[in-house]
Amino acid sequence: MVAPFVLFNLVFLIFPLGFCIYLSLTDWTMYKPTWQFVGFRNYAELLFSDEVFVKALGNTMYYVVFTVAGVVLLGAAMAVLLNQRLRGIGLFRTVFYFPVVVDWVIVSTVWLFLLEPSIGLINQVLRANALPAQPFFNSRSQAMPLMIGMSIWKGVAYYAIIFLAGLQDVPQVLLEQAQIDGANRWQAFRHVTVPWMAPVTLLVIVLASINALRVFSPMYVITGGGPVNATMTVMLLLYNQSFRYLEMGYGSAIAVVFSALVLVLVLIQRRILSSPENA
Amino acid sequence: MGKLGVRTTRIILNSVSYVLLVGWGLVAAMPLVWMVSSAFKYSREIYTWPPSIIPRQPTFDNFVAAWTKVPFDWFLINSAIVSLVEVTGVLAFGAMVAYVLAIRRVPGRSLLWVLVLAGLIIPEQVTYIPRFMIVKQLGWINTLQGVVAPYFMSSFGVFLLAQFFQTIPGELFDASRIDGLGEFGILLRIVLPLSQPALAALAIFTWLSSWNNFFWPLLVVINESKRTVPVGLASFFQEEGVANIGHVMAGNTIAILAPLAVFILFQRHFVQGIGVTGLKEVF
Repeated sequence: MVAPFVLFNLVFLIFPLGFCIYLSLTDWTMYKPTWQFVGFRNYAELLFSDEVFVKALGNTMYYVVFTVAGVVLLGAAMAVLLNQRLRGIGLFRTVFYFPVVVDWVIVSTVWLFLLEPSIGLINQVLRANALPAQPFFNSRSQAMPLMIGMSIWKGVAYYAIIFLAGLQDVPQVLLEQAQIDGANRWQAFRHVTVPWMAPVTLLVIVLASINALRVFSPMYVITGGGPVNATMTVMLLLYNQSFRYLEMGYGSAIAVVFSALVLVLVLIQRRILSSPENA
Repeated sequence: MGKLGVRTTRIILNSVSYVLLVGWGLVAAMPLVWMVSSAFKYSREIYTWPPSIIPRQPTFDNFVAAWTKVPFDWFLINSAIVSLVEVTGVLAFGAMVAYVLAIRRVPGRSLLWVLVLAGLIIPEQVTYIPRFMIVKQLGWINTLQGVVAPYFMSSFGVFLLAQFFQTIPGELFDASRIDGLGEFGILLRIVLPLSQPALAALAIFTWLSSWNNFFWPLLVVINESKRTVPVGLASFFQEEGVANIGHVMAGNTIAILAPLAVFILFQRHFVQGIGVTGLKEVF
């Protein structure tokens, strides 16, 4: 019963892991039939002389930090909002969740359409209110913040639902006890709910960071990393080097560095999940 | 605080809540409403000011264009085949391996666990180039089996189902062994019927992530007729650009129908699924 799975994981997971690390130590490109072992040359080049990679690394960090901050703060607020017994709350939850379900490629084309610099809807609204039209994705300073805003818009409800599941697990007994002890609703929230939510929040931070690191489609579809590498991320560079310029050795080195970043986060996440309070 | 005070506070709080709910509801829905609305507009109306949510002269031209300029029917068929095959594989093999791990408890299963955990931990990015080479060696570039292959089984699926199987009381299996059910009989007749919530959550998440997968199909597929929906849409957008944005929005509108329908039909499982999967793992 397990043989196919074992074989599958060996072929599509364990072997690729080892082979990618090996390739990262070679100078292989798709144009050449043979390759040579070059040691850590690819890594040295990446970290010390490839300005685009360093830029992409910085951009990725910038994107991850602000996207995660956004989805955590807004997601927590949204969960509190959705945790009330209000008429029609289910409908709101459904609508809030739409952007999560819709694919990134579609989200990207729709926002690019709305933010089209010359005649797009948002600039038309700005002009109608006597405000200056914006260059949006054509601007080096605006493109990345817009990517971040879009990602928050798309992802926030997903993390809100995780927060919501946590909120619904807060023991009612503790809240009632706090109120018997004379706490008002705010104090009960501050001293019971907030500490209870700390592990869930940590989990959402790690989860959102992993997901944000892996985002690829909007940069690929909207800007291709531009203008002037303003939205170039490690994921996009990994794609470009490996599958556009066919620099497989160099691309493998990027993949290894990138995966090391993800791995650190995944291991933190595993730790949180296997800690006793989440068992 | 008097009784009236409490009630007034509640009314104020509720009003603020509704303002926020409606506010974000509009922010969340507006781009998608605009997308659908533009799909039914002639290009001269798409950018006119003041904007109209309901098209003044509704048209199906954009849909006709999307359908005839690119093989949109093939995009949908390919995505349907790929996602259904992946769901089937992930569920079937996930259930078998999870059964062995959680219920049979065969010797050597700790090694099997290591393999499953490796699958949860190893980032996918490190596998792309070697996977591409393997698929190329197999002669599966530009085929649907090439798109499916690396996603046909999933360690996450095994992990999720094993977690769930462990909660099934062991006496049930002892009784069924006495009744002469084989291993597959126990899995099919006892374990799977008891595991419907976990299976449903796994099926829906696998389906959606497969349907929306972009990076891997982008690598494997070359011919237009082999593209999945996201790859097809991305290249359609690159061909049509902002000038023919109505065509793209029509394509988008067709493309969101299936995920939205699945979401609305199985919403309960989605929310439960995040409870089960989101807190455990999202891959």
